[in-house]
Amino acid sequence: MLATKFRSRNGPPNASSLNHGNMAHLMQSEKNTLLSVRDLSVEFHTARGVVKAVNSVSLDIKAGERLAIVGESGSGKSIMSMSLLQLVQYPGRITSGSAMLEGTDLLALKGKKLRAVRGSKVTMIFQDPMTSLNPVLRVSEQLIAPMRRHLHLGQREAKERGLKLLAQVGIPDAEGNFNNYPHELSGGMRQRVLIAMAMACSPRLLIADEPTTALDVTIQAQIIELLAKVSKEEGSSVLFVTHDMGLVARFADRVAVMYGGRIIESGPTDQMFENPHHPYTRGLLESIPSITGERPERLSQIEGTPPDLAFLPKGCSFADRCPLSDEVCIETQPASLTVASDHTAACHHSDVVASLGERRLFDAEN
Amino acid sequence: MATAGIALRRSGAWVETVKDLRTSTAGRFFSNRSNQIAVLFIGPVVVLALIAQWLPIQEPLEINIVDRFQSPSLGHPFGTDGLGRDLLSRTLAGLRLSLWIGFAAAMIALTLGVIIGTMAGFMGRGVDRAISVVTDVMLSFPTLLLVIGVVAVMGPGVTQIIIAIAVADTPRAIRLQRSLAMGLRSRPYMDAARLASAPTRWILVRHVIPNTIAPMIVVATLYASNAIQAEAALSFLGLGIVPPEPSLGNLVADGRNYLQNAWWISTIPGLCIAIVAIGLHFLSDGVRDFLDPRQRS
Amino acid sequence: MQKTEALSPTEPADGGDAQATTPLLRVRGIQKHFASSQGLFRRSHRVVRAVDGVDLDIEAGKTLGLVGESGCGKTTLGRMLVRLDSPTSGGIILDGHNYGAATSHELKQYRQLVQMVFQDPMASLDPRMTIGQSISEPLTVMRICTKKEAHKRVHSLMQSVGLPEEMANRYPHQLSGGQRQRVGIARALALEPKVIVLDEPTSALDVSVRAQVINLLRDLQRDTGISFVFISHDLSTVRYISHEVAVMYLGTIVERGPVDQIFESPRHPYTRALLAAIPIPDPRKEKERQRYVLTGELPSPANPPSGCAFRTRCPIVTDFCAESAPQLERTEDGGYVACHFASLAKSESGSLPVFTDVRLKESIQQ
Repeated sequence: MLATKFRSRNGPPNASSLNHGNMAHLMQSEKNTLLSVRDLSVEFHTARGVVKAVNSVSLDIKAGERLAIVGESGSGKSIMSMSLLQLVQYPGRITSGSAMLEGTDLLALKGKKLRAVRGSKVTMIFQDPMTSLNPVLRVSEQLIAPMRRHLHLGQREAKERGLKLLAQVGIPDAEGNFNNYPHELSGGMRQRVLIAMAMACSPRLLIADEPTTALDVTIQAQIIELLAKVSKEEGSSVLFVTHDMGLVARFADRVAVMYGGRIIESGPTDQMFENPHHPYTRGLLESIPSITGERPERLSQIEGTPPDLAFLPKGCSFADRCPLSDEVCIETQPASLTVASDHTAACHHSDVVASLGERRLFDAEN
Repeated sequence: MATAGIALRRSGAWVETVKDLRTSTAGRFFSNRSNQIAVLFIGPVVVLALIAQWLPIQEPLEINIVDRFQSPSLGHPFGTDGLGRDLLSRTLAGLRLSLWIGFAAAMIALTLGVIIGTMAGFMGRGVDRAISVVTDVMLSFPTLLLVIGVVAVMGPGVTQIIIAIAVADTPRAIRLQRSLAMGLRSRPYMDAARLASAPTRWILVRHVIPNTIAPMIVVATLYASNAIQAEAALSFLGLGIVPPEPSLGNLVADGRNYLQNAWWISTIPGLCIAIVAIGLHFLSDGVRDFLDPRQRS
Repeated sequence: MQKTEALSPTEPADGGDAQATTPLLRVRGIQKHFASSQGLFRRSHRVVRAVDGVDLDIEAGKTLGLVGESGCGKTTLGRMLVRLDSPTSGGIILDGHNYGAATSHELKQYRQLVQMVFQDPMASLDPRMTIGQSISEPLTVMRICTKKEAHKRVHSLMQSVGLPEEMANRYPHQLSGGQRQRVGIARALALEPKVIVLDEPTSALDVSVRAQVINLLRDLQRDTGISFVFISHDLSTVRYISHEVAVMYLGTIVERGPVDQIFESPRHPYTRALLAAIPIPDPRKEKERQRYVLTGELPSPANPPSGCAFRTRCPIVTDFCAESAPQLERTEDGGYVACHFASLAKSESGSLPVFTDVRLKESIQQ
């Protein structure tokens, strides 16, 4: 029974769950891929035409790994993560692809089997902790229901475990808060409840879609720390969807950058930050002001705006904003190529980007 | 012209051809599916009703006892009633009256609703409370009862019916406008207008009313449809338009005693009511899309 | 309790220190109290002190960064600075006039001097007005110039914020987020104010577009010598754009000073916690960083703690903190801090400060 995997939350007192340790932990499970997504495409048929929100995306998540999907609004990152649980609503449609999780294709599941996976093997937490909880049900009811359904626990057992979970996610006075309604909790507390719900059935994979965007920085730090802690305790992999490169650096083992519905670069976090091979990744990193060190006269800026997914160009979708773009970029879609071990990039000029070193790619002057 | 530019840059050539159709106001109105259906339903009816007096048909009030209870035929497409009056001409006359009542009552409710509702939303708590109390009291009566009450006081007649229906619809319009206006009150662009030292009048005229008028027109279209049905109901009950003046409600009432022998007397005017009501509902959908600035590309 | 001294426009903020330049805009002892009435019949009037006695100086041509978590009162303070909300008490002094309790005539004058840019660029533009109409609204309302001149002025404003002229006839929904925010900035510039209050101007924008807007603001300041009050929770952006920074917590300023002092050697434990909470987009630095996660959440402003407002979350709290509220006091390096033990918790400059909580606390408790 999965429930028996529930462990004590007493770790070593000072070890941050975020740093260190995690790589060693990874080594053990180096080879077992938990989720393997291949050629996933999602389309929306709208009055404006076919919006290609996700465009032939492939990615792997290893057991216990924390993968960050980075992108801005309209990059397809949320749709991609939601499609893994078939949560894309009409007029959206998964048009191709597979997502193999321990021998089952998540995208082929239907009805009862799909519901059995949702909320137990694969769970999800969303950006807005207010709207993700049903305002008319008590925390206890919302927390207990999935455990009773998926783990077949009795009312008393489920309640006991629910209280343990609330304590585990750091809700003070778990007993008292157990019977509260969502509106009686603060935003940070609600997100903790959602994490407790998501972890209730010890999922293999937790999809966290911008889980801290609606929260303040100090609360954000708490929630990130908590996510790292509980996922490690339960041995769950995390698919962390975000637009914040800082959070990626803090939290993720690996990163996949999405732009225009495609993964344009992916690799281990350290490599991606140190030696990005795609100009968009590079531009994102260059344009973020730092909280230490020199302040440049101007920030590097990426000109223009993200592409309209309804009218994607035939070549590289970043070409019109890219300082390196040429005829080839406009004409042909770059394929995703391995540029280093476990590091892929989809750019015709990835060698140029990689050789930039300290120099800036995006000019600070207009 | 200039609107084509950058937004459509990525869109390809087909947009260019569609653009000309889309940019003209009429083109945009008729390119909407709901509007097309609405026009299909009410277009012919309205046109016929408006030109009825020039059509080569019997006068609506002309009695021709010899031709009584004629079933629909070439000479009398809608048949005749118990006094031999031509039902086509009576139905068209009734339609014209119904459309006028619907239009007038909806316009009154819309105008009063926008003005009073905006006042309630923007002129402070005291005004809001006073207006709310009055509207709440009025809304606590069943609509038809309210209308019957007003008619009972003022007596029957076209103007009286228009006023009675408007009285029933206005509190609803006020409430809607009030809540729409209140929703706008805390919008940042209202703050921006205040920062421009815009007087209240400017804010109401330039920001509040333009942003509330679209949903108000949509419901006004529904009010018009309801008004037509309310008139029919009143006339059917004998409280509306005084016979022999034809109205759709009168016609249906006239025919109910002959339903087994002369089905057409009640049925055809009844169908007309339904067609106009359905058409107006589609129109309200289409108007909503038409007035949405996001649909303008 | 906060001091509520008599306002004298000539008195500098630091209470006597002769300064070379007199600030452009001075805020003295500004307060905003909301009465929160509860219940329909039994009215219990509780006073929420959203802003509780704030002093600020805004220098000509400089940017003051105002940071803090949601609910700290920074937005209310910003709205009072532009007089969208009127202060319960206190003074806003500009050009020798106190606009704290200005009449509507004086307000009209004030609005030509102080303007605002809002957080959500879509919501701050009337969807039924064209861009040109929105930008020219202040000119039209104030009848500053003829229609023809206004037309010309709109074009030059659009040019100065980097928008193509032909966009004047477009509607807000036809623009991208970054372009909309440029419109918001152009509108704020229309009356040629001396100060613009920017309320989270980049937080609703895509990451790749933020740098564009920040650079635009920097350029505008360089070219026109305008002053900004930059309200944000994004500390890295605040560091980049500000000359001075004020940190707010529960309605009061807990620390303010030159930007480098705040970021290099912050004194207040809250400032330190905020800085420690920000994730740095560099995985290596993130791993080396000792992380201090602030526990607990912001107390309700309706029911603030006695003494120091921060004491419920403070790692160096002592019994004394509950008894007496610390006042903003000048530090030797030019800043102001409101903490009884600020000098004891001083850190080495150059590195991000870290709490050595246990030992420090012991030393204070003795």
